[in-house]
Amino acid sequence: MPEVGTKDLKWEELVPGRVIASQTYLMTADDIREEAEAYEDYNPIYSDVDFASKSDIGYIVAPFYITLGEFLPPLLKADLKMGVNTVYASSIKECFKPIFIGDLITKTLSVEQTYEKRGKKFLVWRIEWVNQHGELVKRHLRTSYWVGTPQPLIGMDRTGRQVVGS
Amino acid sequence: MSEPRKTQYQVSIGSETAGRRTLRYEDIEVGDQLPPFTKWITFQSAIRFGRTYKDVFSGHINAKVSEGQFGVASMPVQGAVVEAGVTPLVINWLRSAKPWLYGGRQESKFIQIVLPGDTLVYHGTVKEKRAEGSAKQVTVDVYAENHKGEKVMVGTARVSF
Repeated sequence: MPEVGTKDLKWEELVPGRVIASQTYLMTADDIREEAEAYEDYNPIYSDVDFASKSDIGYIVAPFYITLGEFLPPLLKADLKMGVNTVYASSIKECFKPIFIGDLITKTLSVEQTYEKRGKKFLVWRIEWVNQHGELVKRHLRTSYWVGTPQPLIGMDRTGRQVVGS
Repeated sequence: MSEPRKTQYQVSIGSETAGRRTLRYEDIEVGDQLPPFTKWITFQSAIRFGRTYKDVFSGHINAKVSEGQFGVASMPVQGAVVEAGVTPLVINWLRSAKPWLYGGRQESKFIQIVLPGDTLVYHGTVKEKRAEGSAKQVTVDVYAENHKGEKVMVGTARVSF
């Protein structure tokens, strides 16, 4: 059953430096394989132990683009509705060290910056990933523009059909 | 060049001892073109990616919400799916994921929406090589265009050796 947040994300509450939530994940082989498959990337370095052992990294490794749901699970953890009020505009992604099976990764979502440009409001999320050794392994600065109050959400009636409405 | 090895049925087989030919910093020249990478975008692309964050209602998978969120009912695929195409572009070129996962950096800017049914072709050209001490980095200009030849994403990818 999909879990949903109940509070609207409000522009006024997006204060730079505000930490929305941190979440810790134990990376499994399934997490890595499923994420690569979600992007339709079937490079066996993300799923095949034998293949990966012969690569120059030597192990199955998480793909550069891994998100584990990006900013949405932390929003949900803070009981905030998913971000249907933003449109992804640009990003900077950095990978400092690879993420392997068994790593304990803490992902933290915070507000980096908000600004207005040519009549549009922009929001920059900072998402940082730290491993069990306290090393920063990934950083993502994600800029989106704000399209306003969440648009009509889709609910479900008692027959299971999707209906427009909050 | 040595003759390819053949089986008793005259089937040619590759060398079992030859090493992996990954690109090194010294092998790369400014102006080099990366082999293009093609990615097909389907409605399933958005659904599959949406499942990673339990998306059951966003404008990427629901036409009604799409109209409110993006101004069109055509359910654009997530930007994350579009930018992720740079990873296979880079790894296929280098024949290694190492320089991308140890110090890789990607900057992306989305130019226009990508819809189910689009075919994206990713291109890259080496823009700069930089060596400072033991750190060696190569920066590549990248972009993705759709099947109409329109750019949908532009940016850079940096790898570290």
